[in-house]
Amino acid sequence: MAVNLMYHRAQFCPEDEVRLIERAKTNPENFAPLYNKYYEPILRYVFKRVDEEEIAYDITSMVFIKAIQSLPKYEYRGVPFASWLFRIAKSELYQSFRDAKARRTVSIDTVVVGQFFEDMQEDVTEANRDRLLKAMSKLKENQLQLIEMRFFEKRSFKEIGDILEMTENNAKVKTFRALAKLKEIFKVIKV
Amino acid sequence: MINFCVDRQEPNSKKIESKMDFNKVLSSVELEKKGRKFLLTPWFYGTVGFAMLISFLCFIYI
Repeated sequence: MAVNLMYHRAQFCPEDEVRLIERAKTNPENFAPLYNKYYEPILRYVFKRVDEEEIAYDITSMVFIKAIQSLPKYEYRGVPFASWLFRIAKSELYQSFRDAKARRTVSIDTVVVGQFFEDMQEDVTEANRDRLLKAMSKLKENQLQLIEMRFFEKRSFKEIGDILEMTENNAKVKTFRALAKLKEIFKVIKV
Repeated sequence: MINFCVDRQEPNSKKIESKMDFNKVLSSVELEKKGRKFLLTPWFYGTVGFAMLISFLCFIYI
């Protein structure tokens, strides 16, 4: 599966990044290059999961505030800095759902839905699409996250693993299990 | 309840860029730092502690 560069504009170059992070640790003003580099991928990640655009901007700002505050504790241990930011974004998102500031949203793409139906040998109809949405709403949150990241955002298993704090292999296994579960629920569901 | 959005239009890069404001983020960080610093000062603990002591004594004796 090709990786969608819209979400992965920030290519990983550990040496440069570690240097930037070390500079930002000494003075928060030096965080600017990292902010400029990662603002858009983080915003898009948040936007896809909340119902209002303005809330997505607010949550993204909070992510960077938290990132600057926690930066002294950050240590590079093989996990890209972007994944560390996505983890903060994930935690901020769920906090906003708990505080009822935002509503959990899943942004889906008809092209991806078409591929799913092709794989299932089902017709692309309005009724089937509704069935799929119903099936997705019956998945557990962690399964839904995997489906979102892998199929709608086309993230690599490595990146999914880094964001969800699991190994690449574990991400792969869990994603296929989530997909199998989705197909199973889809077959049972009637609109 | 999950909300599903089909083919939702994403904001374009220009709009996202116009919303970026690093200075605002920095000032929020500074503001929170100041707030946290205040909570750690003897002034804060002294005032709150004294007020609590007075309230407790009032509750006991009045």
